[in-house]
Amino acid sequence: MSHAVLEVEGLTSGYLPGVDVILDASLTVAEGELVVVLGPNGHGKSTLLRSLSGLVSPSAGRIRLAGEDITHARGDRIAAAGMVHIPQGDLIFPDMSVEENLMMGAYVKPAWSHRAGALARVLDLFPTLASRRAELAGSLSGGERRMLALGRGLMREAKLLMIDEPSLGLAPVIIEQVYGRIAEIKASGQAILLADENADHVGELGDRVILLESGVFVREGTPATLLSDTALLTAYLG
Amino acid sequence: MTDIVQALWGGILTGSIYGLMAVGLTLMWGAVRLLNLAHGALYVVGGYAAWTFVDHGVPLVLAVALAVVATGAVGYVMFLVVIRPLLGRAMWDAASIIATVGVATGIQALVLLVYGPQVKKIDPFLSGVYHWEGVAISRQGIAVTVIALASLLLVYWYLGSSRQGMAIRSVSQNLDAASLMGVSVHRTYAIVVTLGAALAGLAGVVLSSILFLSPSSGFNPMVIALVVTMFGGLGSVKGTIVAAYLTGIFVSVVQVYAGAQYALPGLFLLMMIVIVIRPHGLFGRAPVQRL
Repeated sequence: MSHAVLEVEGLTSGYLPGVDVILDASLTVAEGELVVVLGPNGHGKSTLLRSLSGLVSPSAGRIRLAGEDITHARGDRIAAAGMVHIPQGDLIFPDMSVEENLMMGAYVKPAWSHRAGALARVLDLFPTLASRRAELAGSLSGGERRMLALGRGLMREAKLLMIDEPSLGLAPVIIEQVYGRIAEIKASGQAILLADENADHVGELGDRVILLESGVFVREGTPATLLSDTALLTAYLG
Repeated sequence: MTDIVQALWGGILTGSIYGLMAVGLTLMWGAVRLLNLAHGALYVVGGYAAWTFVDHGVPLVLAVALAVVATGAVGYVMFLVVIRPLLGRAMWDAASIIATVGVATGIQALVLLVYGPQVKKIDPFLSGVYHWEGVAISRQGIAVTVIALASLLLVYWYLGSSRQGMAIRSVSQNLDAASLMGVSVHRTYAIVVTLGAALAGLAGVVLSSILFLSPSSGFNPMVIALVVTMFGGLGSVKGTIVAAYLTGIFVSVVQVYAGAQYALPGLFLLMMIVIVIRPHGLFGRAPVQRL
């Protein structure tokens, strides 16, 4: 295995003291690897990603990004260190235009000077955003906001790209497009950590799959071995 | 005719000053959720700093610039010492308001101790008055309006187009998302409080060349600026600038036609009516939900 981009050891994390959402989680993502964290809603996928990007402070464990300890670093430092987190939900800037939202994706210093080129590429990738680039992000539909969040995450180079539920709230035809884009990004050598509650797309996409249940990693393996076990999938994902 | 032109001019002049005060207030509210009741005290700091520099023989233009920088520095220290320790703590709303009242009281008392209760006045940058059909417009008034308006436009451009200005807006709209973009939230807060303080200081400097300066002379401008920020829709800079001029003209017209004693009561009556009809201000929308 090549050098690890992300190393997590014994991560325990949650929102309230004494109420842990993630328990003793350990994982690695190697260079160019796509790791999928699979689990039902409400079992800690988002909390895991939020802990890795500094939005939630871990209560125990260690997180390294490309060898650098970021366990208790602030979110902006982690972002500057090369973490791009495409969050779930409505984490856009509603009173900024679509274009300004995308520009914010290139806020980190080295990316800022290349923002024009990055913007052109992202608008190329998401024609819907291109046609609405001057409108306020708050006026977008749920699916368009999702695309905006994805596009914003692609505005700068990342050591690790984390995507939380890429397909949530999207129309089926757009879901196909989004996973197609993710496959392209992976093919370019990008290390990706993907959180999903849907096993449909991760089979062909993931190098490794981790099953998350109630904040605990219960199984880990290649998609072929894990996803062929229908009894297991039924048990964990319903 | 003469009266209305004179009143409009007076409104534009005072509206510029209200704008300088109110933009700082609305930025601090929008980005930091800080209701800064030390804003009037920062105005006083600006005025006395400029007076002191001039008194020590510093050329007027340089003294004005130094006073603005000094007030910004006082704002930065206020952020570090008083505001930052309260961030993220329980009861932020109440604690931060009380803390800024404490800063205001401290600054006023300090100014009173050092400078005494006698009013001071800064020399005008320009002398002379233009007369036109009975309307009197002082060259100093024009200079003050131009300085204030240029500063407001500069701030507006900074927020709209610069990288750091976008960071300030992003923090005011979604803290978590701003953090994920790599924006340092505390650094942005510090910039906003420093910038707002510097603008209040500038208001204190330029208005003290027209009105008298006393340890408590920042109070009325602050109260009017608070009304302006409500008219403008708290957090909206464009709305605040427009509201500042409308408020200035309203106050000035009331002063000319009804008498100066009716200006503040009239303004508060207007504020009550506006708040009943448009609770989020003339240009504001329903507040963005923040986590």
